[in-house]
Amino acid sequence: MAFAGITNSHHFGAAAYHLAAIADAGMTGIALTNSPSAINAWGGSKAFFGTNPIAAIFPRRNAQPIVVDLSLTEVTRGKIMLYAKENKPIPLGWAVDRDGQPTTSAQAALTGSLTLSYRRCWKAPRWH
Amino acid sequence: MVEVLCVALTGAALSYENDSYFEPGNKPRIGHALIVINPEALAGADVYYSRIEDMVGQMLTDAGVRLPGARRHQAVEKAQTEGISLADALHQELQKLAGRSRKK
Repeated sequence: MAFAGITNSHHFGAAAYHLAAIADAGMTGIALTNSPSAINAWGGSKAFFGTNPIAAIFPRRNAQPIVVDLSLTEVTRGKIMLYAKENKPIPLGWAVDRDGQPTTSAQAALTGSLTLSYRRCWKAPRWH
Repeated sequence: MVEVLCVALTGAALSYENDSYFEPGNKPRIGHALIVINPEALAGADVYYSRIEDMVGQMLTDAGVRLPGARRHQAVEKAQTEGISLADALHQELQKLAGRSRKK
């Protein structure tokens, strides 16, 4: 098993891109990254943790590898940024404003926080 | 969990300590963690591959199940045969950025 820690970095693009070489070598891989604040700490009202995705790759024989890419948030911050640039409203459920109120304003969402993905995070994160 | 593995272990900036990705002149200090596990080192590669196929086989007996990564692989194949379409403005911006990095 090997663990590589990287610091002083920026957005690393798609995690699956970095994992591909690991699967090509017949290894299983897990990639994690933090990001600028986007989601509240459990019970909190301001953005604290990043979108902090977790991705993994599992090679198969004679078939494409299984690639798992879990995002904690319903949408990425970049997507909301795009909506803000285009002055489009965002659907309810993507984000809350800085007062913790659900918002359809992309601009308000960028200073607020993103909601957890309902599909992938059916359990709220618990810190023990 | 992600924050601790990517930041506490590496000394990177905590999420709230980073500049936004989208502000000009930003200098985030993001942390990443990469974990690689060799199946040979545990039950052995044969067992690993066999167990994965047992799992996949069982998963796919449920008609609606999509294997994680399947959509991605299809998209890659499609892009390789059909290409992808880029807006002219984006294409030009990419060329410009590529040209800038070549000069370094």
